[in-house]
Amino acid sequence: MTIQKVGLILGLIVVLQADPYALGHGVQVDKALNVGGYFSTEFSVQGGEKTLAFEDLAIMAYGDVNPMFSYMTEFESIGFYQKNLTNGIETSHRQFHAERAYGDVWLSDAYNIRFGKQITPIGYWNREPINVLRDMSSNPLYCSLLFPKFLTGIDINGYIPRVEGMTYHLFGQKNPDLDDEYVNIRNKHFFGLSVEKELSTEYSSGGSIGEYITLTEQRTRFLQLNAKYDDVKWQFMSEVLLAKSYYSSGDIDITFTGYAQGMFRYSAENAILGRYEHFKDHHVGREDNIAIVGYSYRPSYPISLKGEYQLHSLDNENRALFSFSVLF
Amino acid sequence: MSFKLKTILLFLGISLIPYILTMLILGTSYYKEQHESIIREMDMQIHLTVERVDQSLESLHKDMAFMAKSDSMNDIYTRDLDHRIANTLLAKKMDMNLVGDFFVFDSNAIVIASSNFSFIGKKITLKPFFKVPIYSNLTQQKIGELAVNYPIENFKHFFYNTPDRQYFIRYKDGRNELRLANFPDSLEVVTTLKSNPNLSIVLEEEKGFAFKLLYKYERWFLILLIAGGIFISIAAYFVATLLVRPIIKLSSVAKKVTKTQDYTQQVEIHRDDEIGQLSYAFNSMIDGMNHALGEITALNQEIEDTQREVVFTMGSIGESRSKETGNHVKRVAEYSKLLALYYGLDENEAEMLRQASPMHDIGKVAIPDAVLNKPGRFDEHERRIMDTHAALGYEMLKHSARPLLLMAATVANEHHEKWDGSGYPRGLSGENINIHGRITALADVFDALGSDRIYKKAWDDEKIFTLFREERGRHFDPTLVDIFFDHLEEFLIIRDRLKDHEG
Amino acid sequence: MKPLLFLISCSLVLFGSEFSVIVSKKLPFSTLSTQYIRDLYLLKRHSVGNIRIIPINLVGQDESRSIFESTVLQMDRNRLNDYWVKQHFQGVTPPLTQPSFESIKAFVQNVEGAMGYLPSSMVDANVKVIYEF
Repeated sequence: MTIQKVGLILGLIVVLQADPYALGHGVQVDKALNVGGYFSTEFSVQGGEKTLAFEDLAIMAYGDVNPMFSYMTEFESIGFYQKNLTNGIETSHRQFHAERAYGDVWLSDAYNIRFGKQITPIGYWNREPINVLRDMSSNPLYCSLLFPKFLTGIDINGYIPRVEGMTYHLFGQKNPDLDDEYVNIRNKHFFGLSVEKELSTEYSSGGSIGEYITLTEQRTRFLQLNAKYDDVKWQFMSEVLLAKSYYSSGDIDITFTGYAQGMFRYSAENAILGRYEHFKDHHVGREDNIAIVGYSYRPSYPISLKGEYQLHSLDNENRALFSFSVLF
Repeated sequence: MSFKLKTILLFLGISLIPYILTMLILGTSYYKEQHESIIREMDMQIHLTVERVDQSLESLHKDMAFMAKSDSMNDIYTRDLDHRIANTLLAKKMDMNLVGDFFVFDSNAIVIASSNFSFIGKKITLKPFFKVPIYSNLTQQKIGELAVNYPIENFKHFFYNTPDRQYFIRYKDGRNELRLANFPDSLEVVTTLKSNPNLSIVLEEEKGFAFKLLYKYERWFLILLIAGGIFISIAAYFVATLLVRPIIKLSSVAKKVTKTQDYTQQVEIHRDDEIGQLSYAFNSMIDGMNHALGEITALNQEIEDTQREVVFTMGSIGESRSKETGNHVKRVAEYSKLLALYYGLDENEAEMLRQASPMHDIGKVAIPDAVLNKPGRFDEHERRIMDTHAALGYEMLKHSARPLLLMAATVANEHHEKWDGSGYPRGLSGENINIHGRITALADVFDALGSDRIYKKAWDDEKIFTLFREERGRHFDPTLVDIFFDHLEEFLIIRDRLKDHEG
Repeated sequence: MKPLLFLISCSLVLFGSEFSVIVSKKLPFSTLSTQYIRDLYLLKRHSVGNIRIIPINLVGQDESRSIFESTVLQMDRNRLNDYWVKQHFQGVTPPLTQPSFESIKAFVQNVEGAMGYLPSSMVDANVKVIYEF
């Protein structure tokens, strides 16, 4: 609770002191201190159960201490407040946890070192992990189940010299997470390499390989590929991941997942979307195909209102989801 | 000094001195407390003010540090062509209502920007109140300085001055500034500014104002002290008087008894305590004394009566041998007293003479019968013997200490002396003869001549009176003879009253 | 050769190379590709060789900026805005701004590594042009 209060107060002070504020751009108190935040709310109907959630609430502070060194911190509370409207159960987690806390040391465009708790630099969906920056409320299974969304370690990244528009990320973690409250897969060993190439203004593509070992000593290796086409009117995005897990029982099993999403922006504010996901876990024998249609309304980019309907191949998983989120 | 006064003073002293001491101690401690609390209050006030000032200065400093980091400071590179920095400085100055200006200097002390546009581009030397370095966030080097010129006037709006109390600034070297009034007599508290140790803020309060409450209380305190003192004095006086009263009563009765010798007096004090006992004892004592005195007086009276009787009897004895009747003695006694009174002797002396003169012939007891009772004339030898009875009587009586008997001795000795000195035994004359003797002489002769004796018959009154006239100044004191004739009647009355009875 | 160059530069002037991207004369490079300048202005890249580049934008909605954004950055204002919102989440803030062309020029002259764009007519011998649009 105190972090919240501190954050709010800081925010107020900052707002009072800083330049004119524009939504979505944060408040620049100083080159070395920029403050922002976001929240998202969701309303879900699944199998007769209605839930309303104030899902995310976060505050960020970042800045450039000097041309070479910068930092980012973000504190988030997930599941800030949830009410199951069907049975009236309320839950709330008022605790804020460190979602990101890292520093960047820029040595050159080819070598930038980021150390600390950061977003795992794999694919597209994972790198924009908040509701407001996404066009669809729900996350594809590929993202939440198959690799750690955050890593606490070191990521060396930059432009690959002599190649136009190609970046790489070489990352590693050999320690437990900084704040593993919201980490989807807790691990103590995570290494990977990802590359991304900008083929043109519209086309980009990339891929990664990696390995991680969970706290329960389960090792998983994966191969991931992603591609995107993005222009003013249309956006197509697709990612696939193939993971091989070594279970403690001795089994070695494959999980394959992927999605493909298309979006049509018929105005700056409105867009309709469709997504298809496939998920197959050979170890547990779970296979799911999900089709989602969605609609996104952004009166201004940092404000997002979305609605979607999910059709699952697995019984009773069909779901209607609405969300409202804002980035400050 | 009387006991009453002593007691009253003692009581006053015992009650007033502790009272005054206590009041003084209370008074001084209260005064000190008040003084301390006044100083404390002033301290509190000045600390509040200093805090406000410090806070304001600190926030100015912080604001300047913040401004120095802002992106617009990059315009130093463009020498603030677009006056972005200058406008920011001006806005800040307006915002703060600052008397003074902000300046941005480059490394050559040239003004790049200022809230006072006329300084821009000039090289000035300034001793700034605060200055903050400006670092480029592109090169991390110092590219300039942000300074503010903060004249003392700015402090004015922190100072809530009233006619009795004022705040002003004091420099480290002791100079004062912004001191508007001159208080001749004042209290001062000083506190140094944290943000600029060269400056201190002074709170000065007029002493009268600061202590006004105290002075008011002081007056009341004095009034209370005096009133209390008076009350205690009166109370002490009354208590002392009350305590002393029975003693005074006792002593006044004693004084009265002594003065009037009236031992019937009693003290009216009815108490159970020691004083009551004392008064009871006093009364008993007086009563006892009264009784004793009564008895003594009675005894004394008896003694006097006895003495009188004895003397009278002795006189009678003296006369009894000469066959003269006792009344002769009585008559002589009476004649003597009368003469004494008219001569001018007082009653006591006259009465004593009445008792003493009958013994004038006591010496006759030593005269032989043959001479004493011879019917005819004496011859010279017998005369001489007879005449010794005066000296003999004197001899008999002269050894007594009693005044009566001494008077009787004199009378015996001198009742035959004559005025002209031809008497016996010593031949005294005039006033050398004791008046008692002269009186007795006349009384005796008058009675002898008027009574029958063995050797003669009683003379006629005319004969007696003729003799007296003749002997006036010869035998008798002329004054006494005059008195005799002046009061003849009275003498004759006595003679008649105390006449000898036949038989 | 010379007449050709003259022709080219004339045509450039005639056919809309109104604006030039300038840097300090002291910098060792003389030209950059569109992509590179785009990467610099989108703050994906920060240097040319060893030199840290500081891109400067003109404040506001000036025509020069719109043309720059459409030709060099190849994004319209909305898209660019979306981009910077996303970058805000990633902890990156847009480049510095200067209020006028004069100040851009002064800044570029005085700060090593500064890069800005202004009307070609304002270019003089104190700055180096590395791109024109």
